[in-house]
Amino acid sequence: MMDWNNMAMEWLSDYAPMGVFVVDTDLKIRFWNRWMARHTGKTSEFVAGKPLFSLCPEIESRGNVRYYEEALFGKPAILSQGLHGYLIPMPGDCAQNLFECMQQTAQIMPVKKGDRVTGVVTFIEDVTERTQAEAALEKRTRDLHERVKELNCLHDISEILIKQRTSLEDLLESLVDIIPSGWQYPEITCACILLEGKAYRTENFSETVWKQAREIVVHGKPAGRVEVYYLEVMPKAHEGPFLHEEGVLIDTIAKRLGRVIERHQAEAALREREIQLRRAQKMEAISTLAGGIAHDFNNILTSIIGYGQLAQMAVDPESDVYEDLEEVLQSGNRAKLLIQQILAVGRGQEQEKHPMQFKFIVKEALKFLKSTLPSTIEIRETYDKDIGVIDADPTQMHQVLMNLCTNAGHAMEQNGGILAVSLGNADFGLRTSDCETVEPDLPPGRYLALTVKDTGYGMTPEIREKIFDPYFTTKGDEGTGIGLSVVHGIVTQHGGAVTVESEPGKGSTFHVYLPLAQGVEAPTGVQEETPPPKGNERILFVDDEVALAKLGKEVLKVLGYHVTTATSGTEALALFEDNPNRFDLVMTDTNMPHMPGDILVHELMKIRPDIPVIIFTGLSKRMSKKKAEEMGIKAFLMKPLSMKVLADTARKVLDDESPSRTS
Amino acid sequence: MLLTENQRDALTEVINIAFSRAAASLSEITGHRVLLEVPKVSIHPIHNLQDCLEEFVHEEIATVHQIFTGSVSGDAMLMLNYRGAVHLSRLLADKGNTDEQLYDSDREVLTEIGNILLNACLGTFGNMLKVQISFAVPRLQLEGLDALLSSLIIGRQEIQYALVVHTNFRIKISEITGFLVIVLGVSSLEILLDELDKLG
Repeated sequence: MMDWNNMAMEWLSDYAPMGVFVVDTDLKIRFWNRWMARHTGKTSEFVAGKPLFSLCPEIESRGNVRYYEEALFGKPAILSQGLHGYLIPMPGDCAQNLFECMQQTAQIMPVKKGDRVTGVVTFIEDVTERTQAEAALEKRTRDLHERVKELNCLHDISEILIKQRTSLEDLLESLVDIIPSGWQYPEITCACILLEGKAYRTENFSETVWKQAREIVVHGKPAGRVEVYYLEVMPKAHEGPFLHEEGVLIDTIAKRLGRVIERHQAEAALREREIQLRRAQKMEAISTLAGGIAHDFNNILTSIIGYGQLAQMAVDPESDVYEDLEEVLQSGNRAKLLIQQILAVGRGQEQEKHPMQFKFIVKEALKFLKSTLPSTIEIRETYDKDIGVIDADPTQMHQVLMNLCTNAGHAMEQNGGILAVSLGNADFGLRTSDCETVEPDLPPGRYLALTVKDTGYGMTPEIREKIFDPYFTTKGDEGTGIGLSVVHGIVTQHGGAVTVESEPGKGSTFHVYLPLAQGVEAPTGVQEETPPPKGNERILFVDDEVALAKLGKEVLKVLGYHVTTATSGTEALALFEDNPNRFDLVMTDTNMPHMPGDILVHELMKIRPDIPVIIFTGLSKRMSKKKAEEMGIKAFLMKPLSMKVLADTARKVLDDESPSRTS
Repeated sequence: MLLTENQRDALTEVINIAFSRAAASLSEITGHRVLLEVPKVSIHPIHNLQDCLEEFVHEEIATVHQIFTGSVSGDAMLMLNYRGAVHLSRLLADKGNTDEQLYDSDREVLTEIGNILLNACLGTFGNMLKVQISFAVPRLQLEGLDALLSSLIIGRQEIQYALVVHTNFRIKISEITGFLVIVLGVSSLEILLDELDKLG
């Protein structure tokens, strides 16, 4: 028959995976299993009958005797590792030296026979490994908790960063408030972002000695810093009181900020490019349109100017009609320059700058405006003495003035008012001019100051900010939104600036500043023109426009020349072939059907290589000065042709060609 | 079953004495000052226990459960809500971890504390009743109140009552609320009340 009691005892004694020992009521050892022997180095034979506290004095020295005393009164006790560490010191497995000895959980229980306590049994369990694993797990959980915080912080930062419409300032203000949430002790963390002289701080910000900082690098150059401070001293970690991961986090934040700033800059540049592109597209459209009509328009202008000049020659220079015709001619010439300007801008060419007295442009423009603005608008002009000379394109300056004055006129159209235009000098850096009230963003120096002031309905600050934007208009369908942007563009191209002062109901004042030309004398007024030179040579004049051919003949005839006209290249060629020596000079248009001017010239030169030729064109695509020179053409003129230019050029070509023939 | 005024006073007094001893033991082990407020005592039929423990019933509770036997027998339990249990264990063991999980070592600490409090309480009753009580080793149970109460009722013929002691521990600066519940059969309860009457 199986002796179960003996078997159980044998197992408990030899194989139990824990320490088991029993003491009697005198606390002398009566049972000591092999586990105890192995871990204490004391055999059961050695300990048998010995008092527990003399064998294990630590039980007494660490105040644990009472558990045995209570057990003798029938009360069980548990000694947890968490509160006691161990009951009896044993070397055990103390891997990684986390503990000085084996960590134990002990149960101390009374042994009873009936109601009588006869002894105390103690069970000791080795929990070193488990405790160690728990410590590691706790650390991992804590680390994980920190990482989650850091990731949340980065996520929140990302959320802010992807808001496209946010300005950089708003973005940094929101962002700095999120930073503390990623740190181990958010409640005592404050942060600051320094960028281009500006500081963005958390509300509780205060500089302390516990600081972590990283540079913000933009396009490879330091642009600012991110700083994190602890407001109280905290345990020393990897980087001062900061964790290694917090170092990585602040690195990431600084890098991300750098990229965001780069992105914002790129977006701003892109927006600028888009504006430029739109402008370029607009210019291209204007250029195409202008190019298309330039030819016809120039022909019309040629007629106006030509017949104007002819008519002027026929009347008394002292008469009113002569003066009226002078106005017609001036406007015609202005239109001619304007067409050239449109073509030049369309082709992206530089404007034609030369020293000029702005005063004459102002006077001329106001003279024109007086006749176009309603009589309820009074025009006042003021000119300072010794107004400087500017290096500018007269047509563009005229356009600036006209655009500003037209706008002023619009603002006073309903109720009338005063349009005050004044011209003076401004000296930035010294600030002596009376004209300057709003400071323009210009380098120090001497400037011409044009002020255009109206007493119209004025502008709100919101409108004022946008008026120079292309296509911004307050005039509904009547406005194009181009006028002031053109003013701004022209003035800026001339190295100047435009400022504006305005309040609703109080009118608007525009200040235009243009740099004065250094050491340049401008023509003091309208130069006395010499009369057009005359001649008696024989000229073949070719233009497919009958009116222009006729005009050319009329003008040249007035100058004394013998003119034969042709209205096509083939007709001209036939005339020339009949008698090549019949003509001293050929003047031809370029753009003609069937046989363009350049082909005609080529054919003529085959017949008579030395024939002097003047070629003119309304559109310069087919012909250019360079091409003309290469072909051996003596002069290249742009339409519309004025009598003076025609006469001067014809005379010059004929004189250069054959001085003997001059009249 | 309602307690008379005298019975309630006597019971509160006895438990107060028991708890004072328990607090002293806890304080000695942990090195921290442990304050136990004067407990509030009441008796309820076991099926009314849930109403009494309202604030605990909706979440998991950590219970140190100790069975005692002798002429007076029953179940003694220290009930803490889960977060309170984690907090108490960490405070006593002086651990800095911030997660809210009961590790094995936390459970052992709670079992030890439960053992001290329950032993102090039941030991005082035993002394008072002059009866020998045998204690089993306590164990920690993590479950809802429903499941815990069901396990107490199953297999019991006798009508059972619960002696509920509402306790407040104050350790360092933290306050932890718990309940000490002693479930007794009607005969054991009568013996207890008789003895209380004698004290009164």
